[in-house]
Amino acid sequence: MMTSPFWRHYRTLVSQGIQAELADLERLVSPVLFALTTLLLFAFAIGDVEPALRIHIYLAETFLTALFALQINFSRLFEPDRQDRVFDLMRTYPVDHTAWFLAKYTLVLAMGSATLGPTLAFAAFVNQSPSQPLFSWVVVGVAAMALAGLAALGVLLSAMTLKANARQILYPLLYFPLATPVLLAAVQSSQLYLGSGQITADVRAWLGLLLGFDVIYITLGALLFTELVDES
Amino acid sequence: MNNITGIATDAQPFIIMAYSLGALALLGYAHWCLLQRVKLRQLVAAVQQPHSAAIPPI
Amino acid sequence: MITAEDRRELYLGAILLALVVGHWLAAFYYAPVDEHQGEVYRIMFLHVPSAITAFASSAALAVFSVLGLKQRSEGSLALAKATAEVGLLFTVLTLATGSIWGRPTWGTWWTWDARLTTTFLLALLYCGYLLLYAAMPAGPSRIRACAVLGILIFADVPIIYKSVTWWRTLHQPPSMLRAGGSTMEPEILWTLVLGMVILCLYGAWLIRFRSRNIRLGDTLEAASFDQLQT
Repeated sequence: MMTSPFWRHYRTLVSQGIQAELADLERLVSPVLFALTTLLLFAFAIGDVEPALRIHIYLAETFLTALFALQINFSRLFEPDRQDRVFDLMRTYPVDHTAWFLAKYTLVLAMGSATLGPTLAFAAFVNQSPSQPLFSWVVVGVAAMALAGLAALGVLLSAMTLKANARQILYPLLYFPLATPVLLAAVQSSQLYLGSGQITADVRAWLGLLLGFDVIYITLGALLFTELVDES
Repeated sequence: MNNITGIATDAQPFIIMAYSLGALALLGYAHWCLLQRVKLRQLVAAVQQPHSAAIPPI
Repeated sequence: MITAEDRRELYLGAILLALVVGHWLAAFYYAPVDEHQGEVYRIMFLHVPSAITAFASSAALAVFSVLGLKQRSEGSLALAKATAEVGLLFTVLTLATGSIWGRPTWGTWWTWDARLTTTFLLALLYCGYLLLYAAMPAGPSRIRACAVLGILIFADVPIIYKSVTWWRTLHQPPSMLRAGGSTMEPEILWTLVLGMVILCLYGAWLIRFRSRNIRLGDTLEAASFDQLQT
C-alpha cells in the first residue's frame, strides 16, 4: 500500500518540501523570532497583571501571538514553488492532487509546530508566577488541535492567493476572520481548564467545536485544493 | 393606537435612525446599480458602433 | 438608453420595494406594542430580516461558488460577486440596526455578544471576498479562487447560529426556532416572517440586477478589446 502512487507522490513532495525549507533556515527562524518579539510587546503593553486576570491575559496573548506567527508560515508556504514556475508546472504533471495537499499540510504542520512549541513555552515562562504555574500539557494539546485546523486553512488560502496582487495584506485579511472561531474555541477551552483544573463538560463542548472545525477545514481543504489546482 | 406619532419620544430617535439607515441602504444601492446600468448600456452601444468615436484611433 | 429587459427588471424591483414599504407600515400599524421593550422593539422588523438576508446571501454565495467550480464560467462568478456585495450591504445594515436597537434596550451601542461579533466576522469575510476578486486578474484562476473562498465563508455561518446557545450573552435567545414553538405573539411573528420573505426577495433582485451589470462590464471590456484589435 505504501508503494502506491499516492504515497510515493506524498513522500517525494514531503521530502522535497523539507529540503526547500532547510535550504533557507530564515524561513524557520523568522516566525519564531516574530512570536517572541510579539510576546515581549504584549508584556510591555499590558504590564503587571492582577492574579485574577493572569490566566486570561496569558492565554489571550499566547494564542494571538501563535495566530500571527503561524500566518507567516502559512502565507509563505508556496513561495519556493513560485520560483521557475514550479507551481504551474506541478499542476500539469500527473501528480495526485490530494497527495500534494497532504504533503503541504504535513509540511505546514511541522513548520507550525516548530513555531508553536517555542511560543507556548516562552509565553508560559514570562507570564508565570510562584502561585500560578501556567504551563499545561492540556493547553499544548488544545494548541495542537488548533494548529491541525489552521494548517489546512493555511494551505488552502496560500494556494488561493498565490496569483493575487498585494497578497501580503490580502492573506491576513482572509486568514484572520476565518481563523477566529478556532482562536475562540482554543482560548475558551484553555481558560476553562486552567481556571478549574479539570476537563469539565464546558471544556469538552469547546473542544468538540474545535474538533468539528478541524474536520471541516481539513475535509474542505483537501476537496477544494484539488479544485483550485485542477488544470481542466 | 399604534402609529409613529404615538410612539414614546424616547424611542422615536432610534426608530427613525434605524429605518432611515435601512431606506438609505436599500434605495441607495439600487439607485447606484441603476445609474451604472444606464452608463454601461451607453458605453456598450457606443463601442459596438462601427468606427466608434468613443475610442480614439491609435 | 435602457432596454425593454432592463425596464421589466426595474418594474419588478419597484414592486418589491413597494412590498418592503408595505411591510414597514405593517411593522408600525399592525404589530402590537411589545410589553417588555415598548415601541423601540419595532426595529426588530428591519434588523432580523436584514440578518436573515445576510446569512441567506452566504448560502447563495456557496451555491454560486459550487456552480463556478463546476462550470468555470464568468457568469457564475458575476452572480457570486454580486451576492457578496449584497451580503455585505445587509450584514452592515444588521450590525447598524442591531447597534441602534441595543442602545435603548441594553444601554450600550456595542457589546462583544457572540451573534453580533460573528455577524461582524461575516461582514469582514464578505470584504475579503471582494478584495480577492479585485486583487486577481480576470480568468480561470480568479473564478476558482473566489469560488473556494465563497464555500469557506458559508462554513462560518453555522457558528453564528450555534454560538447563541453556547455562549450566555445579552442577545435574545432564539425566540422563533426553539423546542415548544415561538414565544412571540402571532401578529408580531407573522409580520416578522413576512419581512424576512420580502427582504430576501428584494436581496435576490438586487443580486440579479447587480450581476447583470457585472456581465455588461465584461461585455464592454471584450468589445473594447475587439475594437482595439481591428
